[in-house]
Amino acid sequence: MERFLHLHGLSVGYPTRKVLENIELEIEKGEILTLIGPNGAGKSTLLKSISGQLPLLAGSVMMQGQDLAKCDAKERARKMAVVLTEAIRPEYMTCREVCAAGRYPYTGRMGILRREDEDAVDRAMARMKVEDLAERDFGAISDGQKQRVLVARALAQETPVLLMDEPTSYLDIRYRTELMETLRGLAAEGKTILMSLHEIDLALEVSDRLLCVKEGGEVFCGTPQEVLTGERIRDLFDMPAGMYEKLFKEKAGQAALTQQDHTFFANRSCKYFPCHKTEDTDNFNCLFCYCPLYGMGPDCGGHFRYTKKGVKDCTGCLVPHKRENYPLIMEKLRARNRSGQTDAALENHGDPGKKETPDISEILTTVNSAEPLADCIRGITPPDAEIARLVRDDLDNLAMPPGSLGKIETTAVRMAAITGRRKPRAERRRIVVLCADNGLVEEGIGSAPQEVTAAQAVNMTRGLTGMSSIAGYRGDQVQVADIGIATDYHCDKVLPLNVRKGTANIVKGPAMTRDEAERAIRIGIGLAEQASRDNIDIVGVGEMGIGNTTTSAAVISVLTKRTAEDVTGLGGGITEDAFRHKVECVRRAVTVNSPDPEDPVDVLAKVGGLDLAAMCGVFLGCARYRIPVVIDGLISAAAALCAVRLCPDCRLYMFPSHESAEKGYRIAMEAVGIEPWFKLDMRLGEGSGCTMAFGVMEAACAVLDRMATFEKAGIDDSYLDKLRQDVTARGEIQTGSLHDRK
Amino acid sequence: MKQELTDSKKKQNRGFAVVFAVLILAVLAGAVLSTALGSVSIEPGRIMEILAGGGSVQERNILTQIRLPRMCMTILLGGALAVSGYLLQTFFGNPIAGPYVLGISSGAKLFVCAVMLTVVGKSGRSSSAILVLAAFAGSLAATGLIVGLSRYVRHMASLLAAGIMIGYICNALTDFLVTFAEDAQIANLRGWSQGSFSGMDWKSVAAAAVIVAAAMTLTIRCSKPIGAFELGEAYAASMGVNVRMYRVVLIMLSSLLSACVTAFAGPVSFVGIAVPFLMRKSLRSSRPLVMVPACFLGGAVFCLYSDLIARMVFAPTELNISTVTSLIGAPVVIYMLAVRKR
Repeated sequence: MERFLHLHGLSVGYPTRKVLENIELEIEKGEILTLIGPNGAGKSTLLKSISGQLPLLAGSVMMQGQDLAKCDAKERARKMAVVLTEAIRPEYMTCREVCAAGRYPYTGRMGILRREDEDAVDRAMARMKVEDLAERDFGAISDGQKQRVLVARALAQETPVLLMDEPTSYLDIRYRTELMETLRGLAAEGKTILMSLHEIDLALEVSDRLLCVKEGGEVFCGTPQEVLTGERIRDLFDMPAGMYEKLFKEKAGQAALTQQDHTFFANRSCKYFPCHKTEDTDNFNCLFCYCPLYGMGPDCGGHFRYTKKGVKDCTGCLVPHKRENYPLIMEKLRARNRSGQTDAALENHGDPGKKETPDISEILTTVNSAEPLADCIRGITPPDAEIARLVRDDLDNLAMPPGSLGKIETTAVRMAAITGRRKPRAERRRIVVLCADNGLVEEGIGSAPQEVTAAQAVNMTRGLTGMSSIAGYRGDQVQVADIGIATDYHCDKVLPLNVRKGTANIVKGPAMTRDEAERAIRIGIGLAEQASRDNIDIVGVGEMGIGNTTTSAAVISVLTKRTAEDVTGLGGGITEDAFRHKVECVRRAVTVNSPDPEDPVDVLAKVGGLDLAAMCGVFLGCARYRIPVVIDGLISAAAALCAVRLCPDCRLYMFPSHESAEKGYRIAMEAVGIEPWFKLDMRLGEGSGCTMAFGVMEAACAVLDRMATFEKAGIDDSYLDKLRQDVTARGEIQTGSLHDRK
Repeated sequence: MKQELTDSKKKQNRGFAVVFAVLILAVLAGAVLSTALGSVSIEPGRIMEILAGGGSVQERNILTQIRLPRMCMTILLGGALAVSGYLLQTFFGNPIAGPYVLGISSGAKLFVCAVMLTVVGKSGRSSSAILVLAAFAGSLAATGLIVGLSRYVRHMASLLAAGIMIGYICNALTDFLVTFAEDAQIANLRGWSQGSFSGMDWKSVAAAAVIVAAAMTLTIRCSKPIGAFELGEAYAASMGVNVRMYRVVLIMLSSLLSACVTAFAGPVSFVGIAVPFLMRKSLRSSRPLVMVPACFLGGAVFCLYSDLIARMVFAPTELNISTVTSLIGAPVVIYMLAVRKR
């Protein structure tokens, strides 16, 4: 991949003396890279070599794929401006003329300044706050002023790269600070800045990365944190004992603190920073949004530490999320999955999934029982209408205008009706995550390699993924079940409920047999039964499976009789071409398999997936065991739709969460007949939206449990009677779809 | 801000206009004076009349064959010398650089001496054409040596020192030759080596005019990179000046100009240092587009009046031109060095 500025195998120095050898460095656009090191270490030599003042002894300086040594002088001058340490003594030149000299590469043969050149000079001078000096003789101003004028000159050259050798040496503390701010601003505008500084603290503050240059040619490049925490400064300057501690210990401590917020994905040097904003899917992959190496401890190649909220202080990552690092990541991942190592760091803190060693015998009993699926479904009855009525009365007696808590009230009523308690609880919440692989990833529609499913399943048990970190924070349980992961992994916290190792490619034939689909659904029901046994108050349904937005789209398309285009979304942010390919896959899957839209199990078996089938089972099971169940995003909605088609009463046990950004979601939810609560532009999956819905449901329970009635509050409520009737009548209409059976 | 800027620009432009007006008037006055004054003085009013065909044949011959070519040559060579000095100073970033300092003149002298002792000495004939060619060859040889050195010497200051050393070597060799030569053989050399604008004919004027005009045109065209050199070589390179090429171009131009002077008038000292300095002072700018023409005019003025002094003060004895320019120029250089420390 072509980097903005690439120092490739650079050796610099003089014919008789090599100063630095074999420097390999990639510099991003808009990066500030500062050279630090003792006097005579070769900082200036390196800068001079990059700027072309000194011939390179070996290697090349590549800028956007172009070798600067092969550029002609003028072209190079438009790419790179310099501020040098050498004093210049032009005679009778005003500061403005000195700045205007920077326009050299742009002016015509005689060097006459055009309007735009004058403007560029004005801008540069204003930026460096040297307008006042414009007409002063350059020879008659102070060294500090000269330095600022020379920086302005370099800015007037309007180059994408700025090279500065000790630009602060003559500046007082105010201008020094101002210069650093200016540089930050320039970097934000995309100017790449390479400079040498003697003031280490300034360098640490302003730089994205520091290049430590040591006599004898040792070079280390790292972020300020890495430089500080590694005590490199002491070694770099050969500080006598005690000096480093005196000067930098405190700073290092602060750096460690600020690192709290430094995550893998806040890696500024990453081409895709900030994440999720790229359209370049060829070079970007969602894999990296779930760094699979997080769980690997020191073996991931970088340094980080675990905290209750996940991985922190991820620095020096050897595998930043770049395409070319794929093979390395995958190799490490496979090695880990094979060896099944458990790292000590992880055992030190309690994570949500750790509490019990999962017992699957009871689930398997349910699954293997002789009871036909149809009977299970027949066992589902609507929620208790009587309780619903009582709770609505309770709500009306609460000290508030009737209906003023909106959907919190309807939620409270429904939860009470489902659980049969006038004061429902939301204390034990569980997100059941069904993980399975889909054979159609071989069509190349997946946003990440198949191995990621396994990796993420493992990471979820450790509270390291998006959903599980939120759940861990909130105290929601996370239950991860392997319903059909294709790759090998080792983690005894993932429930081993594998029906088959990934489905077949639905574009070429059915995903699985009907028996397998039914088994997956039964497992889902079994999981709900287990939740009931565990006294779980609310269940959320999540998933992990590369390629499952496509299977979901196919299922929704068949069940709602919509076209593939209608229901297929962009998934993990793919390109137009990839999107068309995905639509084509959905269409072909449906044509090849021609599933029966009236038979959801057939649809799941032919164009669905094991995760979808099992999720459908969880919805059915929750209805059967009268547990409020939350629909997450697209895949969850597709599964819910299957469940509703199998048993319409199921709907009355379902609660929405967020509105997925995926297109198919709305269609599926319309068919289910439930409106989402929030729009958070989330499309992560995993069941991440469930955690939000749990909050609303907890609120509903809290209202019923704690809120004062009019009686208790000592308020005469007769004035509300008329209003109450009206609202109740209106409420029936508004929430009719959910109350029509009461 | 903008208003202020244009104001100061206007002020600067007015300053330029004044300086140029003074210079042009001085050149015109000097030209008239040096045409009119001499052993036979001609009233300025009659010059046009004589040229138009009036006056005696003797007067017309003095005017057309002696004074006018001398006057033209003085203007051309004086200007060339000053511009040559300006280029060398810009190039070396050092205000005392000049053709005399850099050994270019010494190179010419060595060659002239060698030619006089061999060719002329043997044949007994002294031909000015041969001397001119020898001087030219000598200047260019010295320049070539410096240019050759510039490949290996990175810094201008060292190159300047190298030029001075070349000057010493040439002078030593000249002395060596002179020591073993007979007095008669070197009489001419002594006269030439002091420099003089006397004895110019129209042919020489035409030749000099062609060389000077060509060099001046090129110099003006190079004024943009010359301006960039004001900030030093490193910055010039960073702004896209092909430093290595312009180094050669600049030094070739300046030695072409000074070789031309040395060839026709002998080594004339101090003009190359003093005039650019004075021009910079009065213009308060170093913009090449302004400085080059100003130096040319200034050099012309300086030489016209120096020549007048050389001819007139001890008439009928004519002083060497270098005697006058040194007497006037050296104090200027000393003053300059004293005042430089701001």
